[in-house]
Formats: sequence, structure tokens, C-alpha cells
Amino acid sequence: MISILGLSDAGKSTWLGALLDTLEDATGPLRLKVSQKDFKILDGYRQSLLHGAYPEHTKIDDLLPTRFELIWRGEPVDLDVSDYSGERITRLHGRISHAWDQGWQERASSKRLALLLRADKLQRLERRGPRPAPATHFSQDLTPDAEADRPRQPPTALALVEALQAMRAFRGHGLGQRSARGEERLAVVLTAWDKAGDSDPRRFLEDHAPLLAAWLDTNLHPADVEVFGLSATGGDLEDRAHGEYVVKKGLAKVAYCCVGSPACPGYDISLPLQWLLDHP
Amino acid sequence: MRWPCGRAGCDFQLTGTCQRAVEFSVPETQCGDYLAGRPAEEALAPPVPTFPPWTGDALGLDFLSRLAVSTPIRKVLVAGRHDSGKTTLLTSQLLELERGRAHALPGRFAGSYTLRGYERLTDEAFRWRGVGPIVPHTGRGSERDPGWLHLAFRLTGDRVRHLVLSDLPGEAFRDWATDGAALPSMGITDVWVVVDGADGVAAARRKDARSLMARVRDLGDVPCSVILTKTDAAERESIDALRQLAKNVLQGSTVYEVAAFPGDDASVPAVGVMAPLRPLLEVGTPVRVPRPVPSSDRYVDWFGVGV
Repeated sequence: MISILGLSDAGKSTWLGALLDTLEDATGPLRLKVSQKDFKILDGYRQSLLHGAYPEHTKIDDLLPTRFELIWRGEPVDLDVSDYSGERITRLHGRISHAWDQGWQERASSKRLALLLRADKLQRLERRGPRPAPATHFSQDLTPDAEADRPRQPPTALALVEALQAMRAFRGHGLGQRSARGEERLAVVLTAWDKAGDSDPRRFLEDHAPLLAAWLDTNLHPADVEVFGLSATGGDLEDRAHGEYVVKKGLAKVAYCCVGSPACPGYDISLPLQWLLDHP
Repeated sequence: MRWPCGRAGCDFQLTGTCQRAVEFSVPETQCGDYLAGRPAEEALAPPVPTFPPWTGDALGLDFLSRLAVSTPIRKVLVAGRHDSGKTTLLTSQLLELERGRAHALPGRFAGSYTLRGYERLTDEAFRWRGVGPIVPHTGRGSERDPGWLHLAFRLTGDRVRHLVLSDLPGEAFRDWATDGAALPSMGITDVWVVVDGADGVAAARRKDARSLMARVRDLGDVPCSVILTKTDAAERESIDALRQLAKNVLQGSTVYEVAAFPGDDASVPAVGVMAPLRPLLEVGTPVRVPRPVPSSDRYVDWFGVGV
């Protein structure tokens, strides 16, 4: 099973919508298991992208399926998107003892993790604006008081390190204790890579999220961490001209994924999943 | 574990004295009144630890005891008078880590159980505009309870070192230095004496610094560093006077000059704040292990084993 983890606005919906487009006609080792009704939701994301618009923000209580089934080299494999809303990570960082629930326990059992960070929106420890007004949308498991007390988007590295170290601790790994090679694999996916202005995803992570990069280096086997730069739309859909270009050409012609140092660009945006599924 | 005795007025649970002692030599197994009050087995079982055992905020002594069950920790007492810059120093250290300016350390960041606590402090630091305290005063009974901040580093040779650094109010050290009051700091392995770099000029301030250093000296052979803060705003004469004071009172201590937030801009890189961490992370440095309290093996699983 592969889990996907990322803060709000990390690009999860965009990637999954584009993945559906990529995998549907795939002839390689990774394919969709056909006729799953759950794909209708992803298809909604894909349709948005194909019409030159980003999918809508996923709310914390959106009724999303928790798993999608893929076929990897003939064998079924689950893609867990149960942590779909990034707000869950924000809540975990703000009140970890309250937010750790059954869902996090299940997520912690996954040893293949795709960690999504939006390259152009990494929140650092720095001066920030005032807390935003409470949203009008209320979820079932948030009381009005809790909603008003919802923390701002936390610093990316701190929030992700908090979640990752809790997940590993739950599996019995202390801080700084690297797992054996192949025991855990983690793909860092830097989304909106077209806006990063860099050619080397690994170097970008070291430069822009050094605390997270250090944590990954000290807690996981170096061979079990890979950093990908990924652009599911090949540019900014807010840019009308690019949006029209995507509508005309299709996602397959514009999406791309970079990996390695020096970066080696390719067009298969399922590469992070394939790397996670491949045994070392 | 004793439970309340069913006999009215018997305080065997608290005192161990049975009202029917003449009848029973071992009341726990013989006295019918006491046995009748026995709670269900579930109530007698030790509480099952909840996960995660940390909150993200500053740690209490109870947590430190659990952590110490599985791994030695270096417990650093950060001592200094009110407004000497203790909390600001700790805050700036996390900021340096977050900005990737920790290459000179002999270990690499491996996690923290107090990330939320650090974030709260840095939020305050970034609101600072060059006037007043950079971070809120650590008060007694204030909403920011005194506690301990935690950092873990991976060293060479697969070693992990856990550091906990006290964030205690300056008033506690004033009482400690002048009145011999107790500190909630048993089992400390290292001491940082934090002194405002400008305190070397005025005699009264210098005297305060001397009192604190003398009290630290009385702790015995605990490794000690003297950290002169706010040196960007202090006169050289003052800094030199404090260096001489440290040399006289705390022989063998290392003196560091730091400026956590130089100038009036909190985004300017700090000067020297990571240097006091170096000796704590050097391989081969003896680590004293605080005596742990009995606890569950689950904590060993969750915390792992360090050196």
C-alpha cells in the first residue's frame, strides 16, 4: 500500500487527476484496475484539468474513498488517499494528542509514502500575517469552537516532521534510528515544479526545506528516499494562455517529472509511484 | 497498590495501619473489610500509555522520566536572570536549524518532541520590532508554563543524542542563586549560564552574575558553559569583564559570545548561537543518565534507544 501525505494546497488533487489521465491508457508496469466506480471522483479532477482549471480544494470532510486499486506488474496494489485533506496534518501539528486517531494509525502502517510539497509555497518559519477568519464551511468532526481555533497553515517542514516522526514512532522507530534498507520508502514529490526555478529536486529540498531534508536523512536509509520534481500541468493554469494550451494539447503532452542529480526529466508523472513500488 | 478500606474510619490505604491489626498480621490478605473494598482488576492495572506520548509543546519532568527509560538524555539547565536571553537563545537555535545553518555541528537534526512549542516561541520572535523582550517572559503560572525543549541529533556511527534544554523563568534562578531555593532540575548533565553581555559594566548586575556562577560552581563537576548574549549591543569592556568573571568563578568553563537577533530585524542570521551545542554532540562525551522512573515498555518502543 502507498499512502499520500501533504499539507493543504500541496497539489494532491491535481496530481491524482493527472495520474488518472496518465494511467488510463498506460501500457507499462503500472496501470489502473478498470471499472472502479471510485475513479469517478478522480475523473472529476481530471475533467477540471482538461478544461484548463485546477480541481477545487478538498475539504476535510469530503466523502472521498480511502483507497484506489492499481495494478503493478500484474499484482494489485492499494493507493491510500485517506489523509486526503491536508488539514489533517495541520490539526496534528497543532494538537497532536487530540488529532491522532484511527486514521493516523492506519496511515502509519503504510511503509511506502509519497510526501507532496508544493515547491512554490513552502511555508518557512518567518513573519506571517494574522490568523484568517474562520471558514464558513463546518465539518462534522469540528465544533464551531475548534473551527475558530483552527491554526494557520503551519511551517511546512515542522508540520511534516511532526507527522512523520509520530507515524514512525507508532511503528516502533525512535528518532534518528534509520530503518533497514527497503523497510520504508519515501518519495518526496515537489509539485508545481515548473515554478521552482531549479533543475535539481534534491538540491531544492536541501535549500528550501533543510529541516525536513535533515530529518529524512537521519531517519530513513538514504537509498529509500528519492526527491521528484513534478509538474502535473506543465505550467500555471491560472495563466490563461497555458490553460488554453492544455485544453488543446491534453495533459499527457505538458506534464513532466524530474528525478535525480543532475535532474533527468521525463514525462511519466507516475514515476514516484513506480519508484515506491520497485524493490531496492 | 492499596485501595480504600471498606471499614469506616480506617485509613489503611494512606497510613498502612489497620484498625484491626490485632486480628490480622497481614491485612492485605486477611482483613475481610479491606478485601471487600478491592476494586476490579482493570482498575488495579497500570494505566495503558496513550499515543503519542508528547504534545508538541514544552515537556514536563514526567515525560523526561519516560524518555529516560529508553535513552540517555543530556539535560541542560539553561540558567540566567530574568531577561538575560535564555528563551531567545533556544528559539534562535531552532531557527538556525530550520534555515539549514547548522553545518558546523557534529550531528544532524533527527527530530524534536517540542516542535509546536518551538514554533510558538519563534512566532513571538518574529513579531518583535526591536523594542522589549523578543519572546514572552517565561513566568510562573503564566500560560507558557516552564518546561523543557527537546532536540534529537544523529551523530556519526549510528548514534543518536537527545538534548533537553530548560525553559525556566529567571526568577527561579534569582531565588536559587541568592536564597538556595530548590530547582526542578534533578539529574542535569550540563549547565549553560546565560548572562546579558551588557551586565559586565554595572556593579549590581555583575554581582548577580557572580552569584549565579558561584551557585553553578557548587553543583560540582557538571560541564558548564557561560553564554554572553546580546553581544551586538554590548560594549567590549563589559564583555571582557564578564569573561574575566567566568574565568575567576567557573574555571574550565567555555565562554561563548552570541547575538540571537542582531540589530532590530529578527530575520538577520544569528551569531554564534549554535556553538554551545557542539560539545553536547561530540562523540565520546560522557553522558550522565538521569534515574528513570518505572514505566511501560511501550515507551522504549516509541522513543527508541540513543546514546
